Amino acid sequence: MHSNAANKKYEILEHTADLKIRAFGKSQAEVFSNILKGMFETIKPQEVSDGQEIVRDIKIKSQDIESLLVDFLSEALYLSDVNNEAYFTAKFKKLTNKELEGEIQGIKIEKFEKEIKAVTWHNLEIKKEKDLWQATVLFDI
Amino acid sequence: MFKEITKKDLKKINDYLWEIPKSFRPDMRVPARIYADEKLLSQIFGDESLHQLVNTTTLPGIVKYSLAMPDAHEGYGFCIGGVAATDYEKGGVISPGGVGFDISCSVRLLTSGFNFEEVKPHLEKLADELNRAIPSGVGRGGKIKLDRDAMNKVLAGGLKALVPKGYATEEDMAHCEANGSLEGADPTKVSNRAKKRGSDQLGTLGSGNHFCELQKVDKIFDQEVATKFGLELNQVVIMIHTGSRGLGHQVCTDWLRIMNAKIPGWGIKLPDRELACAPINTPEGKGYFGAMYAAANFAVCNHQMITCLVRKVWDKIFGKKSQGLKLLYSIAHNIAKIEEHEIDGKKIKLVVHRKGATRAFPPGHPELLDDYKETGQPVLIPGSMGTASHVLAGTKKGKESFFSVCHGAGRTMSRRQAKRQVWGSDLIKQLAEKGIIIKCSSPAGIAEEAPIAYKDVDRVVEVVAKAGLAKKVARVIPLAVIKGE
Repeated sequence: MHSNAANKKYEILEHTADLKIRAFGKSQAEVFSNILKGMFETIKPQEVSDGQEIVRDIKIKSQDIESLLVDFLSEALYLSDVNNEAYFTAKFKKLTNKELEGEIQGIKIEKFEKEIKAVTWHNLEIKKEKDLWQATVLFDI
Repeated sequence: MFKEITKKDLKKINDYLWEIPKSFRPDMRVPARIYADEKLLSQIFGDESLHQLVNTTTLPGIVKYSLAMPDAHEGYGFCIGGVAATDYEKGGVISPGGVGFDISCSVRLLTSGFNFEEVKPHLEKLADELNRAIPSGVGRGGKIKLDRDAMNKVLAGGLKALVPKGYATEEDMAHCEANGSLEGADPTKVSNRAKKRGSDQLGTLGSGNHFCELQKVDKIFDQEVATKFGLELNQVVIMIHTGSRGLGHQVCTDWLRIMNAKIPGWGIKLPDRELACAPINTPEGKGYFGAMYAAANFAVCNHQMITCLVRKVWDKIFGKKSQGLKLLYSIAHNIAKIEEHEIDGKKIKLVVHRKGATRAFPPGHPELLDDYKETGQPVLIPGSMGTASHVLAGTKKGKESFFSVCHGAGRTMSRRQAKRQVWGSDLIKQLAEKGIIIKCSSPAGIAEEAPIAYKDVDRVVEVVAKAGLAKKVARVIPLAVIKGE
């Protein structure tokens, strides 16, 4: 019955109008991957039957870690919108505070039940406390 | 994170207007004002809206005050229901966060020549066919594909691009804000990514609170103006609420990124990065402005293509008796416009941000269409799902709010909380008992939009009317809500 931040991938927080997700991870890579998962699971993708796994390469440079997080999720949202896909994991060859290179993996989808319009900067937070990374992002829906 | 705001920090100006003085926080450049009665004010205190309102008073070049409308609620950057005007000539900024991701999210109202009794036998079929005809487009796009040339024409010209193809008439254009074609739109400032996202999204509703609704006029408050607007008691009308889809979302994302990187160089300090902005007279300020207007042209074309689908269904059902559907008005509630306003006796050029707020020009305003010169601009306020919507008209007293009013009921409960309290299927049943048909492929999505998650739209509109910012003309109630396949 117990659940704590260490074994939870993400949680949804209260916000009057939009979608606020807090993700956790033992590393920066894990917290980036978990917030991606939270973002796409929340809008309930309907998978194309007999769909294959999709892999998309990504490469981003940003001015700081907050921008990198926003740019990473915005890139996934863009790729999802133009290719009709949903992504649940990210793997990185390179990941620093300002740069990432790797791939996101997911599925081809029929449709989403809900729509995320964009990734906002509002009250954006990414931090490491002891050994746990935590990222909080507000999505406009 | 920010200094706590309590009711003691508010100065009551009158029963419907409150002020947080400039002295409240050292970074405020102007006071903040809230239009609300006691009840709505207590709801506004329920979330972060007032902090967000105070944050917008720090924008460089802001004039007079930053405003929150009675439907205000927590957003990102600006509060929703927020208005802020900056001085174009004196270092004023333009902020993508003051427009939002759904650039030019708009409402339009179509009037029919039929009353409720005439439409009633066809209602179920109408709702069904409309739901099948109008795609939500979420995750799979719509039926129309735009190539690069067609996309650039839509972005540059708005409805002007649709008239030669027969998708819009001159009369439709004459009943849209800015004739359905914003001058100054610059397609070269819209990224290829944004164009790609929008390429299959024209004529799609989107999700969330967007809808197409069959309604009937159930109250007339001002007979003379209602008649001039073409509205009468018991008449069936159709309201559409949607915006610029993925194209607009990407434009905002792109320009926030550009501006965020430039902010330190301009020496602008902001309490929230979502308020990223650029002085209007910089290449970035002008670039965003051109891209945002282009996205607004895309939005009005999106509305128009949905209107074509609606008209087709209408004509199919009513055949020769159809009489068509006339456009009463089409107006945005997420936009920044360059407008001339009189401030302290002087006419000055302002960048007026309305984020979840609707322009409401008074009678005689030079920008108004001939049909509405005498009445004042029609203002369309959609209610929450299953509740009333309102038609208002702009007034001279609206000058104090840069001729701006509310944009809807305004949320008061999170989507999550709404889902905990309401089952989508129960809500559909309850609405059916009231005679309201709901067409939607996602019951969970319906629960999030439950009326209990929103403020009372009648109360919100009453505050706007009592404050004198606009006058009530008519109220419409829903017959069928269409969310799209």
